[in-house]
Amino acid sequence: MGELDPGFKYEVMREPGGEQLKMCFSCTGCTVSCPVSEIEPMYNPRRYIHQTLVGMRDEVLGDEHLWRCVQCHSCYEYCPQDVKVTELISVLRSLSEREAKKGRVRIKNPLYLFENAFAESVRRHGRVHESMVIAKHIWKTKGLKGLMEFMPLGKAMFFKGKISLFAKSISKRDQVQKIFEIVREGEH
Amino acid sequence: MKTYSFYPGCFVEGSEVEYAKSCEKVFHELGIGIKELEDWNCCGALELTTNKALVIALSARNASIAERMGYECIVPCNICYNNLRKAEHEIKNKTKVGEIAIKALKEAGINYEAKIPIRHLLDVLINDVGIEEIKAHVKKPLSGLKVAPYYGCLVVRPSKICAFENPVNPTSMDNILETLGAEVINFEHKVKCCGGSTLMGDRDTSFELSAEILEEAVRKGADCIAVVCPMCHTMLDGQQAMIESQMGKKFGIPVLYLTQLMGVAMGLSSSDVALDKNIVPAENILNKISKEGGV
Ligand code: SF4
Ligand code: SF4
Repeated sequence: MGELDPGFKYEVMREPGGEQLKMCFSCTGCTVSCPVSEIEPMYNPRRYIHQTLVGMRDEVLGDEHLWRCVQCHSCYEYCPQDVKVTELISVLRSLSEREAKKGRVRIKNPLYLFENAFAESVRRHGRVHESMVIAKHIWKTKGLKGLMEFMPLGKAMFFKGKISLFAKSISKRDQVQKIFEIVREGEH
Repeated sequence: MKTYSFYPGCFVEGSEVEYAKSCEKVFHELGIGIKELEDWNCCGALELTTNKALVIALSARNASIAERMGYECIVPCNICYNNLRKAEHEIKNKTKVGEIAIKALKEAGINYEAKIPIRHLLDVLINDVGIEEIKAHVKKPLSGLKVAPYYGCLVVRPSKICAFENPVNPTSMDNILETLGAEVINFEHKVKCCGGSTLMGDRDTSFELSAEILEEAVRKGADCIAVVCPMCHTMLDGQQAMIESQMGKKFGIPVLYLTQLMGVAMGLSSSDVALDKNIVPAENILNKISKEGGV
């Protein structure tokens, strides 16, 4: 076990979406309502909250299951204390990613790589060029086998005109880029 | 004729052409004017939520366009809807993240006052158009067609933000489908998650969650599932064959947008509602509609 970090809860509460952390009174409502906990007991939102409050920074930010949340907002809905659990999990993911960039954590779940590529597509074009981002992601994470697996659906979608080969960019991309720039200034 | 602005979002515009087309045709039939938001951007979807302020600011830019155009904004995607509602909520209540977003918008030269209502397509259909008006447009009732109504998550949750429906047991789609003449199945999974947002990271979880929904619909004898979100549709329709092969099960159940079913009941042609674009063949639902019911 890593050392306890009493500052961890404040670190989380400073982030947009993490403010309500201290309101939790550990009723377990979030975990009971969570469809992911139902199929994977290792994923447990109430435990993450408790660990965060106690200061178990390394355990939480290094937990590979963090990336399993499907953002369904059941926990958010059923929490009697309005902890906004879904957003809190996103904050933990974000902090985990920052640790990964510093080489302190290794994230196995490739979802964050997809999210980074998605963000970059939005920043550049104002919209996401989905088929391209998805195809590149599958290629990077699962290689040729992954692409082959995707082929039947890809082909059907292509012939139905559901795949666009070119990115559509908006005209005021500068506004979107400004938004990215300003909002990201607040990130450390 | 009431006119609304319309925010299709990347998903509907990029690949879910059957949704875009059926929306357009159905609104036209109902006498509703639709103006696409000018130069809209991606709302951030569920992919950018590790930076909440970014999602709020990107979504608010879209809402600001609706505000400038002066029309209430219809959103046909659960995810976009949720993001735009959250943006409106945070900015209206001047929360910390709302203030960050407003600052970013200002620097980008955008003014937004959170004054224009953001409405899900389903909200407009049930509360503005209304059951009576929908009924008046039904020419070919969907008699004999058994439909499982699947709402998904983000159109009803969090209910403090998406305030038009009951978060546990929503009924608006049930009521519309009944009005169309369909037999509506009592669907327990109606607000349980399809798992779409982790498809690119943890496919097993996504597939397992979607399979639960498909299974219930098949078990209860549904002829098709009705949806109001492109993410739900991509999971249940587009990924259905992959889910089948991974789980060694067979579902073979068509998944249609509510607007496609409305169009069929209103007497529009199958090409008007793009039934040929669904991945699981959808045209054969037409054979399940009993002819005696027709007017
Ligand atoms: S949002 Fe995430 S943590 Fe909350 S119930 Fe859904 S899957 Fe579980
Ligand atoms: S539901 Fe809310 S109060 Fe209960 S354990 Fe989860 S976060 Fe804490």
